[in-house]
Amino acid sequence: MKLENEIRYSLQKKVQGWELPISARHELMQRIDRDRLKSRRTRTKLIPICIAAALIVPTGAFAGYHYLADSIYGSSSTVMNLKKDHLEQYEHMEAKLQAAKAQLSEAEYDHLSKLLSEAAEIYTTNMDASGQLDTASMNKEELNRLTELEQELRKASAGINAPDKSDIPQPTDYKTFLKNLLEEGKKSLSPEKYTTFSRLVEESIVIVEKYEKDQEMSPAQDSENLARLTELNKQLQSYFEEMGYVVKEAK
Amino acid sequence: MKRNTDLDGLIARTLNGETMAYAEVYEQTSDSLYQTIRFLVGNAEDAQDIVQETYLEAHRYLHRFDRSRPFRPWLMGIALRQTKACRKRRWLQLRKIGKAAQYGRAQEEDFSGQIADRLDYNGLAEQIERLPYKLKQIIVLRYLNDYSQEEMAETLNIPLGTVKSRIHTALERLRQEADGASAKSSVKREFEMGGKRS
Repeated sequence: MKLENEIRYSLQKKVQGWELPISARHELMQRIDRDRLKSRRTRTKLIPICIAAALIVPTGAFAGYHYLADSIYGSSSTVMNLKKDHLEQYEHMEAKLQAAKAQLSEAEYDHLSKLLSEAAEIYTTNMDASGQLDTASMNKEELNRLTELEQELRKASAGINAPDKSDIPQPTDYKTFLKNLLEEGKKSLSPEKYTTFSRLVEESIVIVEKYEKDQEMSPAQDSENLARLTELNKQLQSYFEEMGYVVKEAK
Repeated sequence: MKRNTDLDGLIARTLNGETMAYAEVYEQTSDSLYQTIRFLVGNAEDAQDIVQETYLEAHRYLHRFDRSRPFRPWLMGIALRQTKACRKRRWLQLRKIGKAAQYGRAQEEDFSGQIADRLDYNGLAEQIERLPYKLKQIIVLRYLNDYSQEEMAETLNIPLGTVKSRIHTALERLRQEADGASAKSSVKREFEMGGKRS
């Protein structure tokens, strides 16, 4: 017999009867279930940005970093943990929502918001670490519902005017937005108000910079910084309003 | 062929969220995978752990699997990476207790002492087990799993030429050892029968 045949035969003979215990399959399926639950919990920290580009039609005027998107996706404080391209997408989404709000009736906008919130919830619970939809972890009902939502969203956002892209100011990150506000505040606020305003904005910028430098900060540092940023946002509300911005409180 | 089509359907259903479809994928593929891994790592316990981790990882990244390619080599690739990690852990453990060198020598000495008595098929399997890991891996994929050389190259992520040269080297070693064992055996028989040693 040729050596190769002998090898084949001897290996088959050697492994004959080697079988996995029956319990192994059950253990595996249990671990898959646990794995799925665990990954869903950790994913809820991220924002489902990708839906923005896919589902909402182009927009009208972009008025800085407003927080309409927060009402759909959660807190702006979460956005600050994201990378720059995600922030840009988030701001783009915000601009589109602003346009939708301006061009739709209240009932139509509410309907659109509800559809987006539901889609966002599905994205949030099924996103991988890079922010991409992880269809492997979704069940059939979720996949079907998402497809339906996409169709409904297209219908709900049909007819919103798409302005020329050059008309839309380039999206900026939160820090740039704050820095721009400093410049704008110089012109529109009284010197007394500007002193307080600039102090609050500069402190906010310092915190945002900390996030940029250390995106993996400890939970303790994270909550401390977010609490302070929230407080600063509260104190800045009246200035924002005076300058014509509607900025929602960071949650 | 039918089996592969079935497997593809099961993978599609798994991607649609049907957990039970993945259980069926496991049923269809796990035994041969386990046998291969157990042969490579040499014990049942480690092999079971590796198989478990392999299916977990495969499930996690199933959406990245290119369904135009065969599933089993992709799965085997994951299993072999897990095996590599397991071997590394074991080696580090051995190093830690300072017995790695003795362990290796003891096994080699034991092997050389017994080779003359091992000419049956079981002996050949043991000779394969004694091959360096890289060659053993090649032999098991080729002759236990019937992988083509192209599939082996893809699974191991090495050039086709390397696969060919490793197969050649492994077969050459096994052939030499079989010849050596055969010669020793015949000398031993002559000695026992009172023949002369020349």
